[in-house]
Amino acid sequence: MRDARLRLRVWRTARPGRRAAAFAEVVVAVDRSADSVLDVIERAWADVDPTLVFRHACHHASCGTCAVRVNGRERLPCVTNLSEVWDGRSRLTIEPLRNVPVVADLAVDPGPQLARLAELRFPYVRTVEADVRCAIRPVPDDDVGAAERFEDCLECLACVSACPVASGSPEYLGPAVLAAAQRIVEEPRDDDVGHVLDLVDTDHGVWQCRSILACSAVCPSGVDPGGRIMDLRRRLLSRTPASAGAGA
Amino acid sequence: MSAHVSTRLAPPGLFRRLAYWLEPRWRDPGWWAFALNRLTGHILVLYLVLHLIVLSQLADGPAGWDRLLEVFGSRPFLVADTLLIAAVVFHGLNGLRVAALTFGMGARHSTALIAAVIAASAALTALAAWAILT
Amino acid sequence: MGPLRGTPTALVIGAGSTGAATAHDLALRGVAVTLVERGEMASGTTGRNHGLLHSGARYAVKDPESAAECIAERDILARIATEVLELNGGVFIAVDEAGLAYREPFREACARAGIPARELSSAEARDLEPALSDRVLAAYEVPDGVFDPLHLCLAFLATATANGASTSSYAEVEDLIVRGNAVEGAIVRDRRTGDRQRIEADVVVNATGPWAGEIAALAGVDVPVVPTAGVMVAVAGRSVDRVINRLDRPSDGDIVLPQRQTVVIGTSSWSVEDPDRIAIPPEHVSLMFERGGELVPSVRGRAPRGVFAAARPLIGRPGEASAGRELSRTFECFDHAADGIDGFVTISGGKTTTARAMAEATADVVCGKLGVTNPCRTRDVPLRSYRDYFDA
Repeated sequence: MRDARLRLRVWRTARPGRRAAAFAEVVVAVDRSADSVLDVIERAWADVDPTLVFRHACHHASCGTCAVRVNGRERLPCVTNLSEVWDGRSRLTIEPLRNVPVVADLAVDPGPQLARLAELRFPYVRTVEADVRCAIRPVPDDDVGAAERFEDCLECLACVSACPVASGSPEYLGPAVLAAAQRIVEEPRDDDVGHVLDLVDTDHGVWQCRSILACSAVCPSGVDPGGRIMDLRRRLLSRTPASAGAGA
Repeated sequence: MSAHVSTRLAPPGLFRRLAYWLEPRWRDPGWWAFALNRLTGHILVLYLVLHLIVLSQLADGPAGWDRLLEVFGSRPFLVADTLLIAAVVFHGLNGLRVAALTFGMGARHSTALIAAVIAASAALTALAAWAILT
Repeated sequence: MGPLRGTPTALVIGAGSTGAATAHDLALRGVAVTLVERGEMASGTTGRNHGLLHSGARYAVKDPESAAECIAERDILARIATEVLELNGGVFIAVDEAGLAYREPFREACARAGIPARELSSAEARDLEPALSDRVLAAYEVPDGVFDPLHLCLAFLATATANGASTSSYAEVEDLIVRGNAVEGAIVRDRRTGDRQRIEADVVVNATGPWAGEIAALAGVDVPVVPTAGVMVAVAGRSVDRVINRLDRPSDGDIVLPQRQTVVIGTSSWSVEDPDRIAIPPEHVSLMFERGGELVPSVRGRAPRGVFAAARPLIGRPGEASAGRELSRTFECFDHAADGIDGFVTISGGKTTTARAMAEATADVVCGKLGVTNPCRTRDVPLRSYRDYFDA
């Protein structure tokens, strides 16, 4: 039952001739235990202010479109239950992601990051690994490669938003791109691994990471971009001039 | 050509990006450790410069030097010394943690290690404070 | 940048799988297409659908027409959209007497519809998927698959824009431009800025799914679309890699499938007035756990990661059963010239698996009205990467 009243503080971008960019506060009727934060945003749009612009599609942490900052922290509102972030009394603040271009209000444009992923030729589908960390149930050895699945990375860009290095430096490849690069290197398929290693072996690649690990902390999909960046560094350090030159 | 984004808003300027550093809301412990590492790093660089400037006073001879040392022996400066030691100790210990991370160690226990670094820094600083101030 | 003079123009409203596939088809046939979507692409029903790439086996017994469509379209999508599909197959498992009784009709119907259904022993089924219930009495393997709805739509849209279509999200149709007995375009508000724009087109295609009735009303016509909601429950943990179906007549909570690191249990059925305000009955949620647990026991007792619902656009007719599963899941294209309104077409019903076929039928109607004779090529043209959609 939507019997609680939530004061929602939501970031609104400027509309020509109407208002400057600022937080706006609206009151929304919510069910603290049943509603997700995305439900709350939708209620604000449907019942209070239909001019609110926000992204959403799958509502179950698969498409990565709805990522926002809730009380300053990057989350997927579709799988964040309201009770996790709201005590029933205070205001709830929702803002768009950092370090990504904002289209309007809470909606951001993933274009530049996706362009980098496209340049890497990061495939969308992987094969099942025998590593129990990645598969919920152990896969028998002869079944390795028997199943395909979408990569864990949703391309939601929460990691990019959380990364302070990305804040200061837009040229930094960023945790999403670097984690994707590591996935290609870890599971080569037909890809040119040398090309990928060259792409990340730059001042704006793995070497610009400052080991803060905020990316891994906010990733809703368990990708661990921070750990993958460290893995890339180790691989780069163990490249001999001969193997680097071979570019295989 | 897609018209899907024709009104992309201007990226935040330098001021706004710097302002992110001062946001007091949620931050991962790893972020605080990094910010503190940066801060102590700046402090240490500044200290190094000051130290060299102070040492250059040696050129003025023993009398001037002795006066400086008296000032440096005063209470406020001893407290500043203790704070400096805190900065050195934290920067060093945290630096070890970051180096370990680069070699793939400690990522999973990041928060615990940061807590350990802070605890060890506090302990060593307390020891130094006792030695210097008493 | 407008089209060359003389190029026929079409405005597609809605970027779910239907709208996206239609824009793609029309663009390939040389029509200058503009597509508008009020939210993010696929933010309507398509985004929230289960993501099941149907082999058609589910419909073989009760709705053989739909089943045949599904298997044909599944094979086409597997050819043109490999990037956004997990083609791990699916299993149908009988967990009770009713399921066992369904074996014969199921096997015959699949054979008639041309759907490969390989019988498995219980042991084989549980080898493939260790998380299945202990009580697997019979099993069949079918060529089901899993897709990511958003990225599938984006793949269609990327291809359409590469072929000249102009697509906009956050562009909401406020009104249709009706002059005399013809729809000539729409007034669209750019929700990012509040500006209004007049978009004129020779034909307007209403591909808005459960909102089709609302849009059609702007031209004064009625479409028999009954928004019918269904709940999905996602729980954390990828317990299975294949689509798990209950071997029985289609009913609630009889599909469990993997989506990334979750499994999603679906679905149910209740009709709703307003697709933008769907209240999810808690008993439907518990039903998903109960029924899903009969197929994959480990979902029971897990807290849901997400509970969501969207309204299917089912097509109903006066005299037919008015709700739920009785309505056909095939699609229909309404040329409103039959209602006395020219230049306006509604496409509704269907499911994402058959979106390409829906688009073909729609584009045939639209091209018929425009005098465009280029044939449909969507069966064979591979879709571009969804990432290409975003190249600015």
